[in-house]
Amino acid sequence: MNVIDINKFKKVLPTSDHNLNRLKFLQEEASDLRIAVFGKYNHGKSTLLNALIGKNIFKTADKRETIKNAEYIHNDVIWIDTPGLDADVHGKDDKEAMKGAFEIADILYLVHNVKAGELDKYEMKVFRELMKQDKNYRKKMFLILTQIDQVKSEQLEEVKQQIKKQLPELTMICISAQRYSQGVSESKPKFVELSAMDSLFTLVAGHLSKLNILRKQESRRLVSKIRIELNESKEFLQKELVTADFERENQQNHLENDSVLFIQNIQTRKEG
Amino acid sequence: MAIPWLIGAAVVGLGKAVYDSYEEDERRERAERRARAERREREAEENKQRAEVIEKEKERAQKEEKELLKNHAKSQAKIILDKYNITSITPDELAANVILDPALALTNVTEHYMESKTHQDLEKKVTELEKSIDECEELQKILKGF
Repeated sequence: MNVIDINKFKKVLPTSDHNLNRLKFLQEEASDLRIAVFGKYNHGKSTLLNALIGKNIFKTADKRETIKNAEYIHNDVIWIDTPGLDADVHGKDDKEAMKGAFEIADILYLVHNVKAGELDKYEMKVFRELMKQDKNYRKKMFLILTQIDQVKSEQLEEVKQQIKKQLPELTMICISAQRYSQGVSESKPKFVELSAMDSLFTLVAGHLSKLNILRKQESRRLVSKIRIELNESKEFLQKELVTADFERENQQNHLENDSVLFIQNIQTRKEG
Repeated sequence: MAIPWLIGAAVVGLGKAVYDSYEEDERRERAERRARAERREREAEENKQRAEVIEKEKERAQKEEKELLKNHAKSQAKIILDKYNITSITPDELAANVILDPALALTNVTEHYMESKTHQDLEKKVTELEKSIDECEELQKILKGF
């Protein structure tokens, strides 16, 4: 695929910054699979990440401490830990962190703690916003329900049903990262099995096998989106040009009419 | 012998009376002519003065009319110049042009309008929009390769 000069496009399409940045990333910087983990703070993002990579790399603080994304490469996957949403520690908007992670992530895991019940208004707002970014979000976004070992199966089922109603379009994976880590460290295969982390590892393997296709498809979608935006922008500019041309001509005609009336008025007075 | 003398004296007396009467008439007539001449002279002078006053009044009225026209033209010129943001010509100059040479004034206003900020801004806007459309078309061509 040819490489396009994104900066030229940014100048003409300033509102498409996000799509252009993503396309630039796909064209120039994309290497390993990048999976970003999103969710409210204290919903188990870092615990999940640590379980996935098998090390305690990501901080599991009770409070959001940074608005920067943390990255770690493990088994051909770059895992991105995003700041806990809605914590607003530094008074900065979550949107910025989300935007950055979205531009550099191939896959988004939306993490939600089953103990919190259904998705709250803020999560729904953020998730919906993320879904709007790419019409192929079903292949890109996955809902990860964590800490399933902390609730009874009936309660888990109830929450699953509620969330399914809230976001019926997304695939939901239910796991317990803590139980998995415990199973691994204490060599308890039953814990590992009950954690259901296998389904997540299978999902990751699937992403890896389809990465090139996914990226090609995404690039094509982005180019097509940019093409549409470019056409819209051109149409808008053409309309503006017609208006400006009319205004310019109109102004000149008005001036001519006013001048003729003015001259006639003076000549009539002069002759009278 | 006294009779001839008496007759002579009477003739002389009569002649003198006739002569005196004639002299009197002559004097009266001269006086009347002089009076008439003086009257004509006075009337001529009065007529001249009246004509001068009328001429001066006419001149003053014409001057006033001209001034009124100039002021009216100036105020109308200011309205047009302000409306179209024309600053390269003053209302005085435009008013004078309109009074002296209307055809030239029309061309003049258009030329000065071309230098106005209003026109320059509109020109700039049109140029920028044309440039942006060209850029869009260039990018559309690039995207065709994808």
